[in-house]
Amino acid sequence: MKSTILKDFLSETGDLTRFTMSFFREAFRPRYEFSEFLKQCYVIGNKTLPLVGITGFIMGLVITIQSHPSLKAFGAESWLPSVVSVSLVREIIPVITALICAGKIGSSIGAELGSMKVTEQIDAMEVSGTNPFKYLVVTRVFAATLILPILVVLSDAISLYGAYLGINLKQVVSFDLFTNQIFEKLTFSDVLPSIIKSYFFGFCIGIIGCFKGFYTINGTQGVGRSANSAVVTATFVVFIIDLMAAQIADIFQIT
Amino acid sequence: MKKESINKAKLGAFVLIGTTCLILGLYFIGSKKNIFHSTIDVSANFNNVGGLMEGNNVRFNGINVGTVSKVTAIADTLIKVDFTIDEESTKYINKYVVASIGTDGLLGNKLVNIAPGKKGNQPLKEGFVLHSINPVQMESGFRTLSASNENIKMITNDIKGITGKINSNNSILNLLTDKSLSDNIRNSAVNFRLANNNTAVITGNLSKIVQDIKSGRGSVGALLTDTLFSGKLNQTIVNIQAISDSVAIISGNFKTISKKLENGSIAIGTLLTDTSFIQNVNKSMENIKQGSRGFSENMEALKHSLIFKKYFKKLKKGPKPLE
Repeated sequence: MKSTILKDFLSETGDLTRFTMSFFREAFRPRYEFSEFLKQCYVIGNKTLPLVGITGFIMGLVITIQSHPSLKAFGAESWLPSVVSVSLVREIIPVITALICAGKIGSSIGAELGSMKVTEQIDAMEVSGTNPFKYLVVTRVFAATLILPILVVLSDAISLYGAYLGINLKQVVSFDLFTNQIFEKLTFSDVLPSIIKSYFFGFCIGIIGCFKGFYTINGTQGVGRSANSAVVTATFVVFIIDLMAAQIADIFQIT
Repeated sequence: MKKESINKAKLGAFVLIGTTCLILGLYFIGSKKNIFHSTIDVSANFNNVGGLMEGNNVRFNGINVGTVSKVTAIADTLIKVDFTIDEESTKYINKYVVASIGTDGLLGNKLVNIAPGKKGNQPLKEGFVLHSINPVQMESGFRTLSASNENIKMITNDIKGITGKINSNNSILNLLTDKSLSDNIRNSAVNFRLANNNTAVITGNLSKIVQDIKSGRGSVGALLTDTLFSGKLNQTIVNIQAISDSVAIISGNFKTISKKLENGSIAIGTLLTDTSFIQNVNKSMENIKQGSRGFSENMEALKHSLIFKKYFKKLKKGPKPLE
């Protein structure tokens, strides 16, 4: 039983690796499905922004309200903008955004491609001369990879505004002072690693969603399973990538 | 088709806003780190930088003017700190400024403080090595503080003892707080003032007396200033001296007489010093007493005798009245 689980896991990892290599092989080879790419960007970016924005706003507000008593105990209330901005920009917003995208984008891609697979639309595309991998997978993975960092940046901005409101619930801090304090403490080593890891988050969410959908079996039941599996795997991989990013940042002293 | 173009526009707006946010954020961060300003690189050497790192702020009189760009050890006890300073700020910073390593607040990040040194017009130039003051080590500070605490402890103990003594019944404080003492002192002061006044009056009187004496007024003045009187006084003193000499001679004579009396060399001396003579005198006195008692008895017998009875009766009746 154990050996079966391990064998399945290794087999799936191998398939995913091969799938990823296929993506790189197809990605830079013409013909480019630019229109589909833009459509996927719109679906992944614009359609996800409200959810990500609200989540970011709430996170900024909540983190500020929760941090306030602890910092007040040390008489360091004036540090609240700096502390909250660093924690939001470095860690919380990229991970939260990635998790939301894993839930929304991963599941939608998995379900969409899965249903196309089980209804043999992918096979039909192949027959009609369209490269399904290029049309379905490359566009979605690229869209997820490129849009997720933008979502993270926008979510950062919204969450910092939430933090500003959260600070002004307990004390009076002008917007100028708030922005001065956060940009005083934030460094490139806070912002750039979080943006870079967002690309990896986006890529993994896209590729896992596509992989799960592209290899859906067992009919409509398999579509649901693929969607579910895409979310779970993508979420897990997001945390793995976050851990690796933290380790790499520590190794290169990007703190 | 129309919907698709709207979606594309929305996507464009989404991407543009996101990218703008990212660029603005990076710009603000960079401007805080003086990346987008023209800067000059200067350095300072310290024995100990106390945890200073690249990116820490550089402040001139409390204003952020730059950031630390590099911290390197150049000898076993020498650390070179390179930092960039905003060129715009350098017009107020001359080459005599002094760099020191401080802390932002009590527990904040390390930073380089630049303080004005000597006055001068030579501005800071690229590559200049600033004068530096080594940072105060917290450990040595705490060590000194510990010694100070011990001293304070001893001093407070001493003060405690002193205050205990001050508060005790035998202290001088009780005297100071005693109301009767203050009343007495006040009365004494009043008396003293009165005495002073009296003294002033007396002094005035004395002065007048002395003046009178000097000018020969009054009996004492007359005495002291009269030359005739002084001559008489001298004569009197001479006489007194002669009398005293005579007295001395007389007393010498008395002394001789008394010696002779003691020795019995003269008749009175013999009488006074001879004990048998005194016994004889006592015996004679006894005999006289006995003789007088016998005479008294005889006289009583005579009164009762027939011959003299009549005479005594007549004597008793007294003299016969004149007819």
